Amino acid sequence: MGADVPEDLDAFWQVLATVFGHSGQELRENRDSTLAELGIDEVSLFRIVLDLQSLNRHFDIPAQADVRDTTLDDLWHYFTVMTHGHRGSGT
Amino acid sequence: MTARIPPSVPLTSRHTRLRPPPVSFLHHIYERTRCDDVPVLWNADYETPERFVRSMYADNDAQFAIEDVRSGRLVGLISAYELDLHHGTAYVTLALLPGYRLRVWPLEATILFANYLFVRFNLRKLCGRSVQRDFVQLRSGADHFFDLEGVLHDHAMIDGETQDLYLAAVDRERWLRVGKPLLDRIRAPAV
Repeated sequence: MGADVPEDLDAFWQVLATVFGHSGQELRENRDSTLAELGIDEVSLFRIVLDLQSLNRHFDIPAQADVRDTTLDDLWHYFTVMTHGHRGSGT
Repeated sequence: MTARIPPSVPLTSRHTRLRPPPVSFLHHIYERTRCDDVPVLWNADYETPERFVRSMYADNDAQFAIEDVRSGRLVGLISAYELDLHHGTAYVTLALLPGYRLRVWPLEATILFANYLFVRFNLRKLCGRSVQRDFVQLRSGADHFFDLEGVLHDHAMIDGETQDLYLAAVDRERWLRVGKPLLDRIRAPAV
């Protein structure tokens, strides 16, 4: 089981980069894009959620979230709020 | 098929619980077949609700309703059919009510159900058929969660148009390597 707080938030972008097949930097530059716009379907988002939970077991996304209305920035928001209790800059 | 569930087989994850489907839920599903936005499985032209409910019990070898543990609502149905103990195979289908089809958390039920089938029936391989319209939501799982074993071109007739039918499978090796480790991660925390 992963630690409550990841030591390096780059791990967040690394998880996404692994699933998306893009570099973390490319993803950072498209953080306002929805997951659907970036070609992510429900199965990949499921994988992303599970992988991020291995970094932070408290991480989750809202029950009503889906790939059409969730942006990378939203994911970052959920991740940093669950991790640090505040919204991170993501940079 | 009614079978005693070994106590080691979890049926609850953090967000979902697998329950025997109540008849009233199957009637609710029948009502939903009147909508356009329903999975192909539920678009079949059943003459009466009773015939539909009877077929849902008779044509499936193992079946659970998927409950949202937070609200207690039943959100879908996950079923195994064409169970073949000689060959060690079964087909699996997941059908979610329209409002839950694009959600992520109901997918936890597929992990619970796959584990249930592999453990309870000692299967070698789980298979699935998906028409093009539905497969677009699963496509990225190919080569990771499952193998894409074939495509039958223009095989299904959906809304008056032909669509490809995708054949996917998870064998025991892939399950043990990829799926089973996820089980511990999605299981409900001990009370």
